[in-house]
Amino acid sequence: MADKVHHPSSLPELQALMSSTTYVAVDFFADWCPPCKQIAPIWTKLAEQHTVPGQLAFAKVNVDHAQDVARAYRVTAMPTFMFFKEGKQVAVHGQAMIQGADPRAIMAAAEKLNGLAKKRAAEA
Amino acid sequence: MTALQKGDNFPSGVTFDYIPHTNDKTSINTCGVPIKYDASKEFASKKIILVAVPGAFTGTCSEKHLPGYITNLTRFKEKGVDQIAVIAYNDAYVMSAWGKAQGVQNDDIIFLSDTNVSFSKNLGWLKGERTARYALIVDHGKVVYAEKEPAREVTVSSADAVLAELA
Repeated sequence: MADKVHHPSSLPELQALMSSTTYVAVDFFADWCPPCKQIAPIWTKLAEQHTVPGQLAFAKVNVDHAQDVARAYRVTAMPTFMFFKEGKQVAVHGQAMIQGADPRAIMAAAEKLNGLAKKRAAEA
Repeated sequence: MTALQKGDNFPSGVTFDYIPHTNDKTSINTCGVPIKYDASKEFASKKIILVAVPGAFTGTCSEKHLPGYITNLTRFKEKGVDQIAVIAYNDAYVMSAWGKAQGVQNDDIIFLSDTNVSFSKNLGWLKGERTARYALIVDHGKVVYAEKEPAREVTVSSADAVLAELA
């Protein structure tokens, strides 16, 4: 079963995802970073549980492979989680980004976004 | 290859690599990624102390040189210093770890890598292949103080010496 996490490898790809989906949650990671590996299964699970087609998508960006993306968003620590609404960075539960492998903060953000996404899907 | 002197303008095009401070809680891990620090641009609008040491985690640097700056940080700020930039021959990862090991928890003191020792080489202030031990006061792009240690002791580049220069 393919996982629901998107893997944009360039800025245009990420921007395309942001154009097609209202809310996008992005995990910026690196292959050599142990905390990123710790959080990876949690991110996959959140994508499984909370993706709402057209309204909420979960993405992972490898900062070494998609350097244009990492630079555009000035990612300096991994993992960094950012949240976007209609292409613009937004704060969820007061945080525009989460730095570090913080499972509880990430799960809370995913749940909040899911609630917002479902509301928009119902209104659409 | 010219050393900087009091009265010179800080050269343009000087960049260093560093990993910016992030708010790690003890139960959270982050891996840092080095980014470029445009010193020429940053120094143009701030009052900065640039301290160069031969090596992160080495004896004199860790015990006799850097601690003076950490403990005197408030006094530096009282004299209008915006930031203290510590540079060395080590890469950005080591510099970042040294800052954390020394307990620096914010951006008041930043740890930069003199990538390829290019800045120190341009000054002619090297110690073998490492950065030599020196200190500069750069006030909004103007070099107000530039002294390199003549010998092994920490004298003209110490926190006390630099503080004395700040009116």
